[in-house]
Amino acid sequence: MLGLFKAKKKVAQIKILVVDDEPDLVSTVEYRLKFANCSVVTATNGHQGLERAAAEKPDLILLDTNMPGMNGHEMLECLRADPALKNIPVIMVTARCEPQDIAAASARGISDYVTKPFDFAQLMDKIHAVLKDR
Amino acid sequence: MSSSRPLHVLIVEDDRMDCLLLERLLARSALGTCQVQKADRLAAALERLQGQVFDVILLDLGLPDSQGMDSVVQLQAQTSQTPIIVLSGLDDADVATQAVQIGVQDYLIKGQVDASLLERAIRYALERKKAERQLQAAEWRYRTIFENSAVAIMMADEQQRLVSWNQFTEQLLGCCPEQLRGRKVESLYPPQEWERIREVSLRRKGMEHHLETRMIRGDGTVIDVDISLSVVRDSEGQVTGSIGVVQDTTERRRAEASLRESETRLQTIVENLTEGLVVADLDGRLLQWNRAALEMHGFTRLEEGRRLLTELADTFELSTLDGVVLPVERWPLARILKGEELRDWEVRVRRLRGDWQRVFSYGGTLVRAEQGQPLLAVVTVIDITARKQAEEALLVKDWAVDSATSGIAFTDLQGRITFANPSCLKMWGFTQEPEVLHRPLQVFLRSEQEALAAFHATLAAGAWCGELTARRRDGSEFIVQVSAGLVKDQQGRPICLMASLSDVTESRRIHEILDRKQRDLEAIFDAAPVGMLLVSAQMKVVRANDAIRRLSGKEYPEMINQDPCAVLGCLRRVHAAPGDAAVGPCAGCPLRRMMEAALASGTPVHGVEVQPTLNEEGEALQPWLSVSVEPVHVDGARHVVVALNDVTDRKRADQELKDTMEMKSQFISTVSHELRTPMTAMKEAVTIVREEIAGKLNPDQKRFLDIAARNLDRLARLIDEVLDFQKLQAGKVEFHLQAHKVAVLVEEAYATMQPHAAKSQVDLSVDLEPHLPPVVCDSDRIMQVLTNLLSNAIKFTPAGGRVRLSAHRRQDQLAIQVSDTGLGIPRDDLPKLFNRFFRVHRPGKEIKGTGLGLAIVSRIVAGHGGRIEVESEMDRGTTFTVLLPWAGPPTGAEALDPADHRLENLRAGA
Repeated sequence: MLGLFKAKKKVAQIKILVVDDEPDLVSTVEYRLKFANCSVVTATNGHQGLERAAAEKPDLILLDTNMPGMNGHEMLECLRADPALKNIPVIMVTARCEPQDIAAASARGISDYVTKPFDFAQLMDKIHAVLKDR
Repeated sequence: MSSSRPLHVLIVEDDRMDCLLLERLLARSALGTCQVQKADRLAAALERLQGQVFDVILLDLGLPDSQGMDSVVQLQAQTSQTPIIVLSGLDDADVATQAVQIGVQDYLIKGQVDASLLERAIRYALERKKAERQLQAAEWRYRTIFENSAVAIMMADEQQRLVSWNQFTEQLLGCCPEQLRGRKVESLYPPQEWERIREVSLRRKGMEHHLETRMIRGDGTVIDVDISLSVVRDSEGQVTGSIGVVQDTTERRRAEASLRESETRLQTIVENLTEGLVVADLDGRLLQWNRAALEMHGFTRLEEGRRLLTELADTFELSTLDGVVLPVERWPLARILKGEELRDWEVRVRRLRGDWQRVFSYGGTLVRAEQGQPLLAVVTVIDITARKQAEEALLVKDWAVDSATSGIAFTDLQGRITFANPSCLKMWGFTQEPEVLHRPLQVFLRSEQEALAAFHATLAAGAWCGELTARRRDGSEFIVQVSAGLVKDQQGRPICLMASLSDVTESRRIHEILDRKQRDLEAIFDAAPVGMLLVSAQMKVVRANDAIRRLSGKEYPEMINQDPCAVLGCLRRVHAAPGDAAVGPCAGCPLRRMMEAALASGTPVHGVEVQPTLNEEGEALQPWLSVSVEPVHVDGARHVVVALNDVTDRKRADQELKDTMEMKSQFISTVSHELRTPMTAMKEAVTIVREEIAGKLNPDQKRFLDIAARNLDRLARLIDEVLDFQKLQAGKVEFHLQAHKVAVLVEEAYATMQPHAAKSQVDLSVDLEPHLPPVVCDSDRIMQVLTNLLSNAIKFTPAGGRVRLSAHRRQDQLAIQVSDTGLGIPRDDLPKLFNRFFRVHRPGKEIKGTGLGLAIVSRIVAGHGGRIEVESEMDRGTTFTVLLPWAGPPTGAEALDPADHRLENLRAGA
């Protein structure tokens, strides 16, 4: 695993916004991402996420679906509604992988999704894939 | 005058001298002997005349006691037959004439008489007297005839006035003499008759003529008469009168008319006889045919029949009923002419050129005169063709009656048997008809009372139908169905009774059995725990059972002949908008659709659950009904039997269960997801440390973190399994079906499990049938199945064992087998293997796992339309066989209502 990350080619600092209401999860993901040479900003709910997104202009958003207040779906909608933010790629992190949820999300324009518990390596691959397209 | 007898003379002379003179003259005459008597007075003369008969009287007119004619008159009064010669001294012509006028024969003058003169006078007087007497006698005779004639004789003068008539005339004309005297003849006749008479008279010119005419009687009635009229002429030929001799012909006419009438009547009778009558002369010439006879023989005119018998031989062929042709000599008339008397001789007559054949009954005889000589032959003919046919028909009927399988019996009006056909005898156990004849009918029935009642009912009403208990000859009894009728003649008078009899003991018994069975069936129908309706093709309830009554809350009268949906209380139709036809609302009704479909197609529908009854707002009402509709033929028409089971309770229970299941599902789902989040955090945290991202680790730290990581994985897997199973069970999994090469699947499974097998020291091998076609399936899920099965196999096979993965065709399916040489599964556990949470209990062996693996496998296989089989032997090994259809799951399987699918699984005890 370690080798995997070390072997990854050097990329320019990718700024990733992690939006998730679970602080433990955020903590672990942040740590990992930083170790993978990404800069990380976090938010714990949808509103905060939108603020951060607007403020930080991340390269990618990792968006959890299940959040209090504004949930991931709602935030996604807001993102897409905002011309400044709508082009930021979003990878949804979902505990449920109900097809209808995914379909709904896809309709709103996510780039990819992972289900909890996710494999970090897989997540990294997806991130790279999404950003490669840019 | 002969002198054989002396002449008796009476001299009535008062003068003695004259008297002597007369005597002397008489003696000198050639008169012969004269016996003279003298009377000098009239009285004396009269006296003498009283006692004696004189031939002649010589009378002196001058008598002392009578003078002149007076004497004559008196003498005449005394004796009218004796001629009187008057002697007188006067030569008085007047006196003479007077004398002659009063009947004196001669008048002599005393001074002028001599012997010869006297003689001559006496002679003449005698002669004249004789002649007079003769004349008188004749006249009297004529008068008698005239008077006593039975004809009326009338004489009229030249003015046609009646002068003389006889008594009969008065009788005939009913007139008294005063009415006739001097009456004009004309007035005796009706005017038109008088005209006729005159006309005839003119024509006949006074000659005698005779005609039939009519006269008027005194009372005004008119009578028919025959008159002979003749005119009376004098010497110059002048008509001085007429004589008519009249005969009352009224009687005669009446008699004639009566005779004519009789004759006509007789003629009519003969003509109108239904029997034919032919009269022939002794030569065989057929003279007279009445209409019936002509018709029978096919003649239209009398002339056709008036021929010689022999001439008819080419028109007819006669034969006996047996078919023997008769020559003319043997024909009926011929036989009669020979003197035979025929009676009812039945002969078949065929008309040769008319081509008909009839049967006649001939009769006849010779008609003889008083002395016995034959005059004519009379032949009678009766057309019995119809009767013969009827006889034949009757024979046939007789035969039919005799051979009828029903018993037929006749009785007289007193109820005694007069006829019984063979079937009837047989029914009662008799062999011969005489055994039953004349016996009263009640003898043959058990109850005399019943028998008599039936008998009298037949007499009264003319017919009777019913069942009676009959008694056989040997005493055994049976039930007889009787149909009796009164037989009447053409005038409607009863003749006898006729009865048709059938032994219905057997059929009665069968009827009773059928009735009982019918009642039993009805009872079963009624008692059925399921509501049952028999509905006609016109959508009307024919029958309903008790369960329907309870279901609908209606009583039978409210249900029969009603619409079934109305019976169940559906208000769908009632609240249809006016624009909708009756079709409209009910078209949506599932119950109706089922009934109509079954009626139309004849195919049954079973076990469909519907909530057909709607309330006023169009909302579905309880109850839920499980409906089965079965088409059936009843009474020759299409019906449906609708079985309704109130499954409301069950439906509710199902619904509750469903809801519970749903809730449980939701719960599991939520919980599982909730578990994931902390899991993820844990896993990440552990991974971070384990991978020495957060710093280097010592071996112990690594070891324990490995333990942590391993167990986190296990936990994750367990949660996944639970979630997966729940999803599969909920039917919320969509299989992504595609055609996959079997080899690819198998090899991938092998590749995945090979390391695992190697680690467990189990030999994993693959056996693949070549050229297998691709199979439509969800590759991920099938992989799941295979890895699961392989994992189990490896798990349960001790080190050194073998696990084999194979794929081959089995019939029309793909069979993938995972077999091991492992511990095996106890027989008792095999059925429960695929149940949730089932875990094989192995003493001494703790097998880890949720117990959901096989449950998930079985669901995936079922979802593909396949099947999974297991064979196992303890301590020898186990083989799991997955059978999959090549074309993937049938659409039907996916089309199942998810709810039912879940419930199906539940109920199956999975």
